[in-house]
Amino acid sequence: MPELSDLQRRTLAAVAERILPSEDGPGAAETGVAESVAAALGEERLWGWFPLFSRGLDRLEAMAREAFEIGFAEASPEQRDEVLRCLQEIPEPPLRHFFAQLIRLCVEGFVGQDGPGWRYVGYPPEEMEGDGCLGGPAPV
Amino acid sequence: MSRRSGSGLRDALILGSGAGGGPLALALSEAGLDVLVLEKGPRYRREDYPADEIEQTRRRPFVPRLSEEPHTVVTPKTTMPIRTELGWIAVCVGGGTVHMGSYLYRFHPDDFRLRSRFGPYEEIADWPYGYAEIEPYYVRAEREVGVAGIGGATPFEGPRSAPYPLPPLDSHPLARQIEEACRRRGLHPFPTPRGINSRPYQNRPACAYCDACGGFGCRTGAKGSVQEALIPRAERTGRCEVRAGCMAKEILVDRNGRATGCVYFDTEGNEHEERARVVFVCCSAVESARLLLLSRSPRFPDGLANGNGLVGRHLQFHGVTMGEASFRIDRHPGLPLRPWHPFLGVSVMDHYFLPEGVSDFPKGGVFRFDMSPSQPLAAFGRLAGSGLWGLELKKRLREEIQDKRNVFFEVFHDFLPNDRTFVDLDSEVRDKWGLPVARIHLDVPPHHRAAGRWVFDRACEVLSDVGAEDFRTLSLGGTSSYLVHGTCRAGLDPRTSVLDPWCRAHEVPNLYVVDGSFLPTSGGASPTLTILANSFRVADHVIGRWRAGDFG
Repeated sequence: MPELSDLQRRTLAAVAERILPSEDGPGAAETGVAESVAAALGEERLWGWFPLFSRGLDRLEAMAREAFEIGFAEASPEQRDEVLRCLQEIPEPPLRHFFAQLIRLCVEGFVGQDGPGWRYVGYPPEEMEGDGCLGGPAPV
Repeated sequence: MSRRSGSGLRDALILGSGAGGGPLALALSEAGLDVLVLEKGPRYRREDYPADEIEQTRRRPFVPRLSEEPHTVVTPKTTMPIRTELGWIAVCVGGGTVHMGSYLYRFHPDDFRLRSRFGPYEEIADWPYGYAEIEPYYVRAEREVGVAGIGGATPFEGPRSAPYPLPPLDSHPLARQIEEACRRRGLHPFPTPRGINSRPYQNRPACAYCDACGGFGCRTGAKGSVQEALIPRAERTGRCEVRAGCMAKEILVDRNGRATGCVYFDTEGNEHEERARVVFVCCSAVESARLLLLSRSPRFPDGLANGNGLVGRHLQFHGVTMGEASFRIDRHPGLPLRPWHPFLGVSVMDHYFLPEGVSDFPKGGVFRFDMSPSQPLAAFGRLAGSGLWGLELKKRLREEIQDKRNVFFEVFHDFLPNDRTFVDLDSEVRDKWGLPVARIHLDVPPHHRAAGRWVFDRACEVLSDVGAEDFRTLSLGGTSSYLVHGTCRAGLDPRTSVLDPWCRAHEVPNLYVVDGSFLPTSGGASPTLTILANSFRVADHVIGRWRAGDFG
């Protein structure tokens, strides 16, 4: 079972904090999003995704070093945002796919269960009475 | 490894405990037969069902793991078979009825005679019986599982000899506006029939109107699943044993070509045998066909009951067309949007048949309006693809949950049986028990998209009239994964069908296939109620034969 390296984990924490910043309420840093993304990569439902994530995180590190001569995790929030905006423009579909899936996994970590993420987004809505049981769209 | 022999000769052996096996278990045990039900999956209790969005929608606990028990699929676009979850319904006591949304419509009378009405098209065929014959069993199924609705509320449904046992469920106040918009367009909206208790029924509570319905096991017990509504009553007769964790690998036959029982694996991989006078295969259409194909013997070298090569043919899923639109609460002060309620419950059957010129085949389907799920990951699903991240993502997610209401519609329409869509055994891939897996060959006729697109537009018109915005296409003539039928076609002619009108294998006098496999055509509505009703119908016939001494 492949594992993220220490550098990759730091990069993951640093990018999660920009995807879900700690502004206007808690973000990835306060809600353990990076840890939950790393754990999700080991699950069967994401079987086969590890290489994509590994390469994607390495690329972020490389882009930060090239643009700012500093590692991604050490870069400032503005610098990291700049790298992410560039990433979204690169004409390499696997990288864009990596970023889209990373956003998705970060959101799952943020609002996937009861916690500060729920309180931030306002789930369950006030108008929902009783036990706001979790649910999801019917399978297609 | 030696095979352990079983618990004595039973009257009835039922393989699978879903919408096919459940009614048989209840009706046969009530009539005095000694019944053994073998279910591959586990038996869940209400408190076992996850109320967790990731667990339910991402880890998909009801469906087997691709690494252990895949199906494989080939389509005109694939170059090699791909492992897939397509065609798995649910592996547990109660089968798919445990997590269904429980949309329990009846078919239209002409669903039973499409070929007579429209002529030959792809591989459609008339059923070997008609609406009049199954109608009393629709009544029975509605009563046994508890269906909530209003009979006769749409002029398009067939005749009804008894009302629904339960009144319709409550709905979001927006339903009134949607009904009015339908009527202004000349449509006839009616309450969506649901197999969910609108009042306490059969010692089960009424619906709690929570946010975890379609796709989820019901923690309240209000959903009329086979497991809640039928199995416990079967067990209380004292004549029905339900054994979970039993994977049937082969049906046994004697020298005379009669079924004698089955061999199954327990959860440790040990083999066991059980014997019965009559065997019922109720494993859902893909797996029932697979089990017959795996059951080879000198008398049936190509698989049990497969002398004409038709086991696995005429596989049908269901046509699925879905769309969604939003209302920003603050933009519609005149609309009652602020309340939260999971259901709209408005159905329309006016486009069950299509006008000329829409498609080669003039068959549409029923559609239903409902509230979109409001759970956080479902809300994110509406934003995914926008590429949003950062503070804007957080704010939009919050806005999606707090400031908007989303309405969704689903069209159920026929999957046309065709000669390119069928099941056989994969020549290479094996499951964790070492058995060849089912390989699905899938080709979707262009009619599905044409029909789906047209009805989609009609549904959007209604929502647009009410003021919805941000229309999204979720699926146009897509293919359901979990509504599966057709693989053991029932018919009068043993040359062109696997089963007789009573779902008995033409070639094996004491073998029945009673689940979705028998359906000659898949209907323009969800088929679950029809599968339940047919199973009660077959049970009555079997009871008559048993009392006449046909099974020794």
